[in-house]
Amino acid sequence: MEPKSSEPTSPGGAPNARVDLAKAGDFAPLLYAELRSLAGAFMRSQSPGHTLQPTALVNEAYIRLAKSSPDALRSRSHFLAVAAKAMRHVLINHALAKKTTKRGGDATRVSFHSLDGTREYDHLEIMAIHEALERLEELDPRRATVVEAKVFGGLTNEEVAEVLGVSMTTVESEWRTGRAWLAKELRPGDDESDGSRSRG
Amino acid sequence: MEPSGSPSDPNSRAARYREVTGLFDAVRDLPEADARERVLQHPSVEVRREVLAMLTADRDTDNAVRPLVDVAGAMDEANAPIEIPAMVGEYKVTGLLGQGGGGVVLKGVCPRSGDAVAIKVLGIGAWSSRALGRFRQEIKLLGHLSHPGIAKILDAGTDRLGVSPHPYFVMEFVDGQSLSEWRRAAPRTPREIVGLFAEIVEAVAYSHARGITHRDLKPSNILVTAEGSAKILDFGVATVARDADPALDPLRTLTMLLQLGRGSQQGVGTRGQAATADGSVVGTLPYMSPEQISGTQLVDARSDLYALGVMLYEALCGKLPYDLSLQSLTDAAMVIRSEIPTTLGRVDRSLRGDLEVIVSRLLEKRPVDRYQSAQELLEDLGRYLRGQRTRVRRIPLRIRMLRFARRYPAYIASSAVLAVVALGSLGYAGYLLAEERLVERARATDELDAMRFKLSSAAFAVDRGLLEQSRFRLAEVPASRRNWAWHALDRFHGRGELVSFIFYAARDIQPRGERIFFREGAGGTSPAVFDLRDGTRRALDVPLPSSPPIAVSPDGSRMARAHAPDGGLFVRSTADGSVLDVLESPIDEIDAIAWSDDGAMLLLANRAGELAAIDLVTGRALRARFDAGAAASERVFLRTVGGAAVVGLEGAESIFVWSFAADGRGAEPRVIPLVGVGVGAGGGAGVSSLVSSLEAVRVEGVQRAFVGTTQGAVLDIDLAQGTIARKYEYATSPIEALAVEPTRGLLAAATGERADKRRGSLQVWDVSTGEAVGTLGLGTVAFSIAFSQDGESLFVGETFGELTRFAVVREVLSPTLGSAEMQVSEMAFAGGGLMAVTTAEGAFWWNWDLDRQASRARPERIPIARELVAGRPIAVVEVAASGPDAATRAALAVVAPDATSVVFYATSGEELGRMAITGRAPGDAEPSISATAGGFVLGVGRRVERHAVIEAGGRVRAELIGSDPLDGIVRSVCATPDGTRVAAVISGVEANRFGAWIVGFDASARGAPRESWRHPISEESDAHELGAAISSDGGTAFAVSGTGQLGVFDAPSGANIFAIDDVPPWSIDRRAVGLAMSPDGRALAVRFADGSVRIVESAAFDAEAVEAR
Repeated sequence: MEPKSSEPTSPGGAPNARVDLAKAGDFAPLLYAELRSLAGAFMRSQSPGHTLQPTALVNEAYIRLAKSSPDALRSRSHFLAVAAKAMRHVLINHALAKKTTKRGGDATRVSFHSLDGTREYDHLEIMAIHEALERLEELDPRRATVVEAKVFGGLTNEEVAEVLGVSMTTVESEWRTGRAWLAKELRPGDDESDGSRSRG
Repeated sequence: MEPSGSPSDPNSRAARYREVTGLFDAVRDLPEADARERVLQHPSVEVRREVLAMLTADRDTDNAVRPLVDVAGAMDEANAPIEIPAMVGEYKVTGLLGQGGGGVVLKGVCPRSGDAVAIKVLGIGAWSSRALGRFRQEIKLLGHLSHPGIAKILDAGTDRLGVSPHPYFVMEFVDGQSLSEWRRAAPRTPREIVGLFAEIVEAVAYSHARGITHRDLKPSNILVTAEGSAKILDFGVATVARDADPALDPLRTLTMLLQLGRGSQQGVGTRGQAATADGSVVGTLPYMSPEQISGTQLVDARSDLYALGVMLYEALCGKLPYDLSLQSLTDAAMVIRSEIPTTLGRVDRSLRGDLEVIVSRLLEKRPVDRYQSAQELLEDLGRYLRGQRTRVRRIPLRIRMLRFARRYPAYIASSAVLAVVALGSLGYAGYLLAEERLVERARATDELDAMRFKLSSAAFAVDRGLLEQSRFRLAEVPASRRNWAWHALDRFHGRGELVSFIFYAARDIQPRGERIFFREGAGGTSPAVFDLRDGTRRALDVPLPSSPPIAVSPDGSRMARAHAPDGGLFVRSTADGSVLDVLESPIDEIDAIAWSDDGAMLLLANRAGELAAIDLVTGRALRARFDAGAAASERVFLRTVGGAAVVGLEGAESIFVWSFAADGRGAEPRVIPLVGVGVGAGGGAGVSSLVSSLEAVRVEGVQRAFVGTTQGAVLDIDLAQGTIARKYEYATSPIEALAVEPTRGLLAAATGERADKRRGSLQVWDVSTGEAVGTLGLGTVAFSIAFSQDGESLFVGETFGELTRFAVVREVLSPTLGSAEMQVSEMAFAGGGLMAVTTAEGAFWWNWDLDRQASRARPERIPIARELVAGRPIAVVEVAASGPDAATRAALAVVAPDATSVVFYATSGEELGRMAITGRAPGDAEPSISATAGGFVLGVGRRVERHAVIEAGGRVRAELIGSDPLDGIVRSVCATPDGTRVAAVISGVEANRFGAWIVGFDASARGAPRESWRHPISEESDAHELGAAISSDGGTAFAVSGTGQLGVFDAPSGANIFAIDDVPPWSIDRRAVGLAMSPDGRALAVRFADGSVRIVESAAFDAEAVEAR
């Protein structure tokens, strides 16, 4: 279902430029491939205008991986961090696929629910979050990791602290500042990243 | 957003980021006012602005960025211990038997028999409802495998366990130990082991003979009972799962893992896992054949033989053929694909001899070097057990291939009459759904309704795959009552065991004269031919390789088939199956084959981008490459037209044209991009299209390619120009199959998309006009469609294995006539193709030729009665067809603009006489008139009148024969040419309801037409949007309702054949407001609200006419 590249690189190189999945863990490529294929199957089975349930995808991918490669998943925090990263790619690739699909408009609109169900992000918003996060990665890699783990992984502060080997307080502080910075980047009118709204 | 100064300077950006976040951190916990004050003291306006924005965001929790994914939650959920459900479907669960790669196996009790059963519940998945349905259905069909060596599948279903629906299937419970446990339980002699294997192989042979491969044979899938007999579990499940949805394939994760490992050359952390429990990677890996591991080659029954070889090797000497225990997965895959195992005799001297040769032949890397069937292996095992010399020997490759071919010189075992072919009419099976609705309304007292009920239930049965039941129902309905929609039901399938029908899925359908070639069997394993002349179906080759491409020469005499993955290419006679030629392929693997138009060359292509053309006379081969890109395409499409090969990869953004015959050496393939290229001569908006199917053909002298896209459109590509001439928008899901009929210029495309997602549909277009001319609903999804060479039939091969023939009935004969500029307000047919129309510009004859079915040119316009035009609608109708040519043969009776008289004209425009119209009240509809032999029928006010026309001395006058008073106002009237039947649409009040009715009259007796039936068609009574027509034989009456839809009625009885609320495909986007029937009954003209007119072949509505074809 993904448009083409099997590599997690998109035209322009933007979304995945800075993520080295191979370094993230032995099972990362597999997890990524699983998620992508599951997301593809999931999207195929849905009617247009639906929402993707990323958590269900991770669950399924985990089950498959746990069966085929149990040793790889021994470290919980390791898995969580990689899964957050992989999940980010899956969502971005979906958003990209939607952007590049000729049939625009509401018929193929895909949205993603926030975990608490209070927000729904369309693919353009997901792209904007991703792109802002990329800028943050350049400016402040550690904070970007915290934000990524929180947004795309839903990790608790404790879990993030464990992954990064820092204190809970640090994670809390980084998350609060990172989140405010991200929100500032996403303010309406400030977004120069995307002219695709006119595409229709 | 970027800092002032130099936004691209990373240093300044980083500096400002530190500035902004530092300030934010310092003030974020202060009271809001204090924080703002501090921020405002900062010298940089940009920093102030950004920090203020961050502070706002920090406090605006409602709009904060929120977590999207809970990976930890998902992981914990996945790690949660399995809760054993108390019930699965109707089965009471009594225990847990195990957890395998595909899911959980439970022990349960069958509520009907009380027997113990094993229930395999498959894991959570992103199951589409289509995949679920297909899986369930096909698993149930596996239940028809009945062999003592195969654990019988009893049932399949879906149960909601937890949050998502889980498919499950139920097998007989086998109380036994796994093959490896059996082997370890006691010392076993080679004879004992071979004896058990003979049982296993016999069961495998039984299943293979039915086209079902296992694909996942391993010791844990074979149980040995206390009595010492073997039972194979999960036969066919892997294939069915993969076919239902590739994501369900139990081997998929492993295959993916292997491919990833291969692609990135990195290990995947499986070192030392060889002893992991069943279901994990390594439980399966050693038994996977090299072709399964490579992932790029075709996997077939011979993979099962390989797995049997590994198991036999392991059982005999206690070791696997390769030591994989210390290998990474990637290395293990490498070993399996390339390393020659230590022979049994070297592991254990006592195993030297025939047994060693048998096993080594099973373990050959190339499937063609192994035993070619389980039956063959079984025979050798039998010889071994009887102490006879076995047959297999090591043979050099080339000779081996030839010998293999000769061993099956005429595998043309005429396997009885299996399929018959049905006729249906193209275009109206789309009404099946409407038919189902009608079941509720059926009244048993009405004969036709009773038939409808039977047919509807037949439709239901087809929908549920119960074809026998459907045929039984159909048999109760006389052919004359089946009507066009029902022909589509009369499908054919394999006779006898029901299991045959799913496994006879027809793919690669290639009609050649009266013979239809196709591949059948699960995955299309067996080439077969169906002979229309005697209704027999026979196999053309051994059903071994899973789905090698086949291509039948243009004259139908030869069939080429690749015996992948060996690269061997066999050319067989289609008459007796004898091998005419064995060719070494110039390219590594063959994914697609095609013949040149003259049958002198064979074209080959593969997904790696290699192309080859072999001259069958000289044996010379040309080679070329095209850019296959990075996409891992599953399918390669290769077609030839003229001296060019057109090749496309599924999912690719371009197609390639290779003029292999151009200069004898082969030119470089030319790229025709499909993405970002405009449609039509002027370019226009760029399209974005990925290939999902492809055909190439010469139509109207132009070499074209038709490309079905993943986005549900078909592109018509002019190959000479390399441009997209037209885009046919059809669906939003991929076009699964295409067919082109060059003579009549028809294009057909099938997609899996329907409202309920489980069925497919098919549309046909006229290539010259680009207009849709017919649609067809399919029971499932078409794998392959093809027009017969004479263009009279369309063959459809569907998911569940039916090969269906539909008659091609052209529903729409004309291009859209009329236009926004020249709206047709009234119309009537004269003889032949002469039709009188009234437009705002005047009244005209339109002359077009019904025999030139397509009538592609706009009709010639001959002005008539120009002086009558007053810018308002008038009725214009012919009264006689007597003259030898268009100018004189028709006289015209016209209701004058003031609607007070009928005027008779010659086609020259000369007035021949007139008749006053009486009895019309103010507010009544305008009179309606319809010609009969020697007279006409007039609907005026609340009467239908019958008049005779008397000609004398060049003058014409009318004489009233009879008048039938009605309780409604006549809107439209139509009579058969002989005047014996009349249909009228009236509106008025009946039983206190406003509405419109179609009324049938019997006018066979002299005097006034007598009302014989009426049927409501609308609850509105709008005067201008009601029309009536009747077929020339008086058999069928038509009405358009106030909502613009068409109802079809049995004219003698008044039974409603087609509900008024069913929309014919050609009027989906247009509202029909008027009808006219040609005097010869062949054409029905439909006038739409936008002033356009289309001529429809009335035979499409006529059961007998369809039958006669």
